[in-house]
Amino acid sequence: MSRRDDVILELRDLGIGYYRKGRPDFVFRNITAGARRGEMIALMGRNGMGKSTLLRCITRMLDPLEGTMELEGTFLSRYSRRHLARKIAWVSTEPVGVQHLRVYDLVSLGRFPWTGWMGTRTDADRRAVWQAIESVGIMGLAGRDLYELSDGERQRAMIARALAQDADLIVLDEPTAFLDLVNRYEIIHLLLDLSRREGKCIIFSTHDWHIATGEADLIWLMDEEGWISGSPEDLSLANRFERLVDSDTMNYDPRTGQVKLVREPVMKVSVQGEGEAAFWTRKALERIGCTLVTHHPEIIITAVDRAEGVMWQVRRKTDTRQFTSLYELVHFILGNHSGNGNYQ
Amino acid sequence: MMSEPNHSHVSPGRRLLPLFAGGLILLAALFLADLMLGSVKIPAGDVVAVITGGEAARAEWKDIIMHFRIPRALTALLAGMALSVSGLMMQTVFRNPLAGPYVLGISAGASLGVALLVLGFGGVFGTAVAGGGSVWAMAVAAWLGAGLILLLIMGVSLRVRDIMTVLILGILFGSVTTAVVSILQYFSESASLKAFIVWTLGSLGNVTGMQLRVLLFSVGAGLVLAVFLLTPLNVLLLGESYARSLGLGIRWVRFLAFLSTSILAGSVTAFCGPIGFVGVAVPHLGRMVFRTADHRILFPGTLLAGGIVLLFSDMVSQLPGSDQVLPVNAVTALVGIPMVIWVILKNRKIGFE
Repeated sequence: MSRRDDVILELRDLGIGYYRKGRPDFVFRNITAGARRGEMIALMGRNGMGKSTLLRCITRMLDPLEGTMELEGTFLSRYSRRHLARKIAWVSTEPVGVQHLRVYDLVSLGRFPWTGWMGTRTDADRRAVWQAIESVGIMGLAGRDLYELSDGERQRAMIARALAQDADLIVLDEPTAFLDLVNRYEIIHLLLDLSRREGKCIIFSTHDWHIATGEADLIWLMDEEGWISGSPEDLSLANRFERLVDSDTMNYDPRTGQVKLVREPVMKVSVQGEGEAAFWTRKALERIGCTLVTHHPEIIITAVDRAEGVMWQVRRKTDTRQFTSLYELVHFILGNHSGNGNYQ
Repeated sequence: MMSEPNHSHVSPGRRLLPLFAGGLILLAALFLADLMLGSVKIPAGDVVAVITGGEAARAEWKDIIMHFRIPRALTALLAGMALSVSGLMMQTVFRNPLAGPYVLGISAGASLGVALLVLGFGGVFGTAVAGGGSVWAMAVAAWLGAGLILLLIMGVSLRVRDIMTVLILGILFGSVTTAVVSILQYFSESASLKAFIVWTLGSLGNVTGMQLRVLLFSVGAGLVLAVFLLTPLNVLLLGESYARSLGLGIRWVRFLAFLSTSILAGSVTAFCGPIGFVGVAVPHLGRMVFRTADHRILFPGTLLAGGIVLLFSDMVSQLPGSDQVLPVNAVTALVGIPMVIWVILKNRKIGFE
């Protein structure tokens, strides 16, 4: 099977930025990447790296300063506005602040590239609108005002509008920005589902570390070192995530793929026991900055799984104490540590 | 396979039909009432007889109806429709609930033209214009003044992308013209000053014969142009970036909306003077009554509401039963301002954020 055939978008040596006083002022250069149908791509990078600028170039709201962009083998600049709107749909973070705009009417505006200025809709257009509404699972909300919807529902409606546009490539600027945890995952699963089920190519920018590395097929990363495109695992192996998240306050652990706040070391602890209780005990101790060791611990903690719940036994050189919750255990260790100011 | 969805809960037809039917009946009733009322009260039966081609009980009634009241009522109808539809377009284009037909500086430009004619060319001509009631000269002067400002604004709008800049420049151009007009007023004679002031108060009664035909043709042309903009205006509601991503040529839509507004509001202002508040208030009335943002429904809706509001204002300005006539601008302000205040107080989300 030719893998080349399903490439929908190709960026070559792209340089993006703005003109200042007639001179190109680059935000980012040397972007080379491809995007395939049926793929979900997460665009990552710290604020100010140019994520939105790149997305604005792909949607042709902004011209790149150098390099080429090809959509289905044709230069993006060759497409007419209307033709391009049939190929690329856009979902931004810009709120649509209009009163009395019903979800159905919003979604049907997605048909504009196909209906023209008079907006005459055929049965096929109406079917496409309903199909889009059904795809995002908001059939029951079609007659409601956009303003009555929750943030998650509104984002679904905006995605339905993009789907009604019937474009193969959907570009979204931070689609999970204002959503709670459950809604964030639901929106991402919706996007993943659209890429798998309908063969759409989905490109979205995000700051959400777990979502990007856990769900995306491909990550486009923009950092000080330059542009890199690869699967989340490829990027981790190439040690590219440290740079993205490492700072004075954050650390990336390449062994676990976890991001953690940097903590002052508290003390060396050994945890004894097996199973769930021991696992969560270790997590709690790591969270407060304890170093887990097997030799020469300052204290030894044993998690005892009893019928009436877990009990923790803490042994020090001088004494032994017992706790019935990790919260109290952690409180004890932190109190002990701060009372012991000279600890290194 | 997709199940055929139940469309009834999203189809607004069932809700809209009675609204439009009621609006049409109200409009017809007000039109009839406007023909009955005035310094002479004419019974409804005679009015109906005259407009269906018959004779009235008294011969002079037929003259009054044919030569004064029908032109005045038609002018009110056309002006109400034209101003309201331009207000609707400008509120969407500028994404601003307080925009109206005159944000582009049309009334300021028109008053500059009229001021130059009436005040600028000396008292003799001014008095002659006032006395002779040269509606044509006033109309042409107003048109030229409005056209000048519009050319400036349209030129700017094709170059400047940011709509706020266009709005601010429109206000600035308007202020400059107003300043020039006030200088002209300061140095003019009281007779010509009064003629000018009377023009600024607005009048629906001076448009007859050929002028009415010109007004009818211009308003018709402006409305036809507006019909072609209804779907693009819907798209523009989503904001610039979405409109662009849907393949809409924003500058073109803006330009054509300005053109349509200038034809509509420009010709009304030329013949009737600047009639305030209708254009700002009626689109909000339309949105509240029809509860939609869809311009394809709001367009006929504001046409109806605009006609109703200005016919009603005209009736009030006739002060039924008396010989006195109030300036129509004062009445539209008294009718329109409470509506605008209501909109502002109710403004959790009046239209745009």
